[in-house]
Amino acid sequence: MPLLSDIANHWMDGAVRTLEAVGRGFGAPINDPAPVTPYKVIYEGGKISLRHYSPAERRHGTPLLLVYALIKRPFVMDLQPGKSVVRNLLAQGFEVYLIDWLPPTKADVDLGFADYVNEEIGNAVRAVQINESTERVSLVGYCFGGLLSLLYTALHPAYVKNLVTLTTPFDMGGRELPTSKLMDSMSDATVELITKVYGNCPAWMVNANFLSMSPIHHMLDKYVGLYRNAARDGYAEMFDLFERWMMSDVPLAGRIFRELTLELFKRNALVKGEFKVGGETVNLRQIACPLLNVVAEKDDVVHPSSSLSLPEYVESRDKRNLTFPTGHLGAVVSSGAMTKLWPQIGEWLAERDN
Amino acid sequence: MSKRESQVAQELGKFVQAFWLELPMAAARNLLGDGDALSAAGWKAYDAWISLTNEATNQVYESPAMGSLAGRAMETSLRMQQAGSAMASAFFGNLWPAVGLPTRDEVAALRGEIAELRQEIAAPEPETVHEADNEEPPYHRFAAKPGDGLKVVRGATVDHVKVNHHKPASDEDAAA
Repeated sequence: MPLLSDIANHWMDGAVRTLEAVGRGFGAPINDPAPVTPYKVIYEGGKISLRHYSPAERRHGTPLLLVYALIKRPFVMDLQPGKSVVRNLLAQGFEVYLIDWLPPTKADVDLGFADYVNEEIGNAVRAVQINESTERVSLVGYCFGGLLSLLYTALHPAYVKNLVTLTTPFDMGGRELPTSKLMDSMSDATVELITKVYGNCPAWMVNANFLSMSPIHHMLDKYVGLYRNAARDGYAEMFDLFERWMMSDVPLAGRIFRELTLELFKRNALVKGEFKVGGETVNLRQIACPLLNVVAEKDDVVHPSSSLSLPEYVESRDKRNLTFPTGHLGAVVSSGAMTKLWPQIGEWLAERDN
Repeated sequence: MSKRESQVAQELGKFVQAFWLELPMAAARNLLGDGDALSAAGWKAYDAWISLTNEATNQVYESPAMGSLAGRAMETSLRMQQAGSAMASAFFGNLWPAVGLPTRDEVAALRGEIAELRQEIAAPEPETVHEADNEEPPYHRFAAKPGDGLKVVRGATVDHVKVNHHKPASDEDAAA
């Protein structure tokens, strides 16, 4: 029966991919697909490799710095020629920089928000400043990268011209996602134990968290979906890229994992104005630059309610939410995002270029 | 009935309708020559089943008993691993010197030192970390000041100087 044998074949391929990922500890060595858009690395240090993408025709003065999440690899921002945030922004005439986070090693267990925000993003901004001979950059942060961008802007407002946060977990007080209740059941002692036993939060644990969000989809439905869409042009290729991305988890440095879980998720310290980065309390009222907060309506990774209220917490006069009918990943790879969302983001940035 | 329970009930209703009503009707039509109807009804029943299992899974996640069980299981597993590591460390810590072979950490540290030496030999100039100069424009504390020509490499692809803020680690560390 071709239906069952085809689905079984897809499932077996998936099982092999998963076992390979388990075998290499998920994150390393990371086997990114070949880059779609050419870039130059202009700075490498600490935990970042900073990529520079140049547009064919530059139309805007302020460079964009894309701050990607610390979990999984950033190739999802430049997945295919027609599904690339990077290409989309280049076509709109922006000078684009992208932070490629280098996975933490055993020596990096003590890296926390202070290191990632003040040091690493600080160095990336500095590198862009030097390369562009400019003082301010526009930050575009995706998911966890949006949170890092938000913290950076609050702590170093002088260097940020515009801030775009995309599907950013900010107010973690809600428990709308089913897995968040499961996370709640993890005691503070368990979180501490994870870093005592492993040092960093292992990549497989990060991956398991993602898979647990929709286990039936990952165990079966996506393979059935591949069978049902086999005739669609480019679907199989896209599926393969998504799978590689899903298995591209990297460890999360021990300290930042503890800070994220205990302070931000369990105590919601950022919203309460009690979150400290490098000894300094983060005051979101320090953010006065224009803010565009993009919320994915069907986001099942970062629930919309955890980012919708962001504009209320910043001092900016020019601020707004942009809700888009897509899921978490759809905001950076869907056809709709490419034709509607990113042109809107580009337009918003272009209007605030001078 | 909680919101989640009512969602499960709703999905269950859709599944029952798709599987027990629509699918048999489509099978009957198939006997009359309408082959497409059976395929469409089959996929509809499958989709309804997927939605039902998703909702049921979410309900399990949200149950306090499941949360408590998962939390305790994780903590127990971690404590066992911690105890196992401590025992292995205590045992091999005493045994290893008698064998006289270097430990994995010692080999890793040695590799790190060799890597550092390689970098030093390859680098044309010594690395210098500068603090922010207050007299300059409001730049961050950065690995190099403009003009140092070391850390920010214009036009480079891979041929650039690496700055390690943190202790270099061995290849094995990457799997941590």
